[in-house]
Amino acid sequence: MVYLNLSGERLIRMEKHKSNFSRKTFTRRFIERTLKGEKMGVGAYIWVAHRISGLIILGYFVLHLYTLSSILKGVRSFDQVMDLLENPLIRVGEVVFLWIVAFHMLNGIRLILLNIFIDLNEKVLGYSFSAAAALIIIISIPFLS
Amino acid sequence: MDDQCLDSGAKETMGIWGRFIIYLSATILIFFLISHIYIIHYGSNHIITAKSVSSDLRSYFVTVVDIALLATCIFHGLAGFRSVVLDLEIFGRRGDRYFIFSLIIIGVCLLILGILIFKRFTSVMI
Repeated sequence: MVYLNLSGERLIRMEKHKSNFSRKTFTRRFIERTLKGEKMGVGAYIWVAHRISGLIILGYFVLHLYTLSSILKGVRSFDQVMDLLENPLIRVGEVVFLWIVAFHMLNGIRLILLNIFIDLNEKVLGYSFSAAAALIIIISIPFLS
Repeated sequence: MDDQCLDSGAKETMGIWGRFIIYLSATILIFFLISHIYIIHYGSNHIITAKSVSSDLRSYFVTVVDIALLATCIFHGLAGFRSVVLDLEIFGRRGDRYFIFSLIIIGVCLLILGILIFKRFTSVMI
């Protein structure tokens, strides 16, 4: 690579700056480090859990639209589908899904706050959101019955 | 390893405006999702039938919440999905563009499907 109109000093500084950057994305670095068996911080695993929960929620959303689309075949068809879904297993699944949504939402809020307010204490924020998540789980337990 | 890719020096697939739009859609989504869950749980006496949904949709507030929720959910979900897939770097540059284009098509189709479902519900006789 040719640097035009640069003195030797500026050329060295640019190369030093270049070496701090990886050409790999965060996901690829995470996969590589996991395959190597390297230990990473809790933040990395929460990041992965956030992405996986997002994919699960997207899948549920598409399924939700699909079940609702039974109304396009008629009122009876929709009522039949709703009767099929009146199942204890489905109820439990819905509550578990609510926990996944709560995690994704709370972690998302935490990420937004951390990105906007850089001086926030990460640990305090993490503990307060963990407490909020625990509260949501406790409140939703009666709905399992 | 931090949540914030900027500090770790990893390659970014999403720029600052992309992040801003996703954060904005997430904030809007929180409000509409909580409203939707509240309406579904407390509004329909726990029995969901076509008539009960149709009677709920007679309210302007519920209509606005449901349509806004549909649009923001599709946008936020597909933007996140785009971010996850592009981070894996499966496709090349051209492949990335085709992938984003196909996501836009899927998003529009889901939106049209949602609006058709909504229209069908509003035409159900109570």
